[in-house]
Amino acid sequence: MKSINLKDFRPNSGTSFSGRPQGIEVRKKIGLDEIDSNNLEMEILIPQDTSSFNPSFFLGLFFSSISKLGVENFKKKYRIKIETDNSVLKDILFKDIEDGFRNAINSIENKNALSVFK
Amino acid sequence: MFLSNNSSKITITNYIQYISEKDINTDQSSFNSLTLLSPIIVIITFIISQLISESSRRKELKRNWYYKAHLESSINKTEDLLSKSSSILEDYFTESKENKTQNPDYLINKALKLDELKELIRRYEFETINPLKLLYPEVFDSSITELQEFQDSLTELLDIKNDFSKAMNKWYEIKGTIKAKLLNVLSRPILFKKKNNLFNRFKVNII
Repeated sequence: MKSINLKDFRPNSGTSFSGRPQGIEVRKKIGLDEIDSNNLEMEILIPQDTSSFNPSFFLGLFFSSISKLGVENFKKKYRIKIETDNSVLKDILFKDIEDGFRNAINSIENKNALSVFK
Repeated sequence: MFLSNNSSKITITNYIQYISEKDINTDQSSFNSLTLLSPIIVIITFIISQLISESSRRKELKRNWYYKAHLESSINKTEDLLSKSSSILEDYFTESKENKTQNPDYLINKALKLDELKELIRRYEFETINPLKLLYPEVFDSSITELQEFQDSLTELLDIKNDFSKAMNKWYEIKGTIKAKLLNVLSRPILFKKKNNLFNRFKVNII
């Protein structure tokens, strides 16, 4: 399984990942569009000194992949791993990732709902 | 001669009579058409005005329903979200101001404070925005986007160190902006009509 450590791509050298345009930029740098198409499983590492992984960044980084693959296949292909040993921080970041998935699913469902009215 | 004269007279008389009768018949025919058309026009006008009234009434009902069912409570919940966020941020920046040495738990404290704010946003999303998902998907979508941007602003805000006044001023700016944006989005179903409407060219921004 190949790993990608997001520490190399953290915007503004801070402790958080936020902003949808920033997520999209990281997506391009990593080349996730090409990775989506191959059969490899990927591990995405959230570095241990991260205070927040906002849904905006999550969507910028992963929304196209989730749209293309579907949530279940996305989760099989991409394993998101939180590097910290601190359980408090781990819980917080786990909730952030859940927020990301929820927002992604809402966006996909909403797109499908709106298309009925087009 | 007389006969011939009489004949011509008769003929002329007959002719005049014929012409007159023809005019009367034409007038009568026009009159009959008019009398037939008038009630039809009245009925059609009545039906159209009733349809317009009914349509206006339904729109008004729909607006009132949205105001009572969603908007009124949304305004209160938005105020609540911002007021609680204010308390959390004041505590955070006061604590940061008092910490004169580098706090080794800075990352954890920041993450925890941010998580408190995110919990408020999640609750707001579930209680205020989620109910709009089915009937007002565009309002739902726009609201979620605004909340994401709000969360990003808060994340950036918590990076401000050692400057309480700068941080609070920044917070007041964020607070004003998000309040305006959320209320603007949530008011759309009653304040703004659909696109491609002549009225939209002259619409006034309420906020």
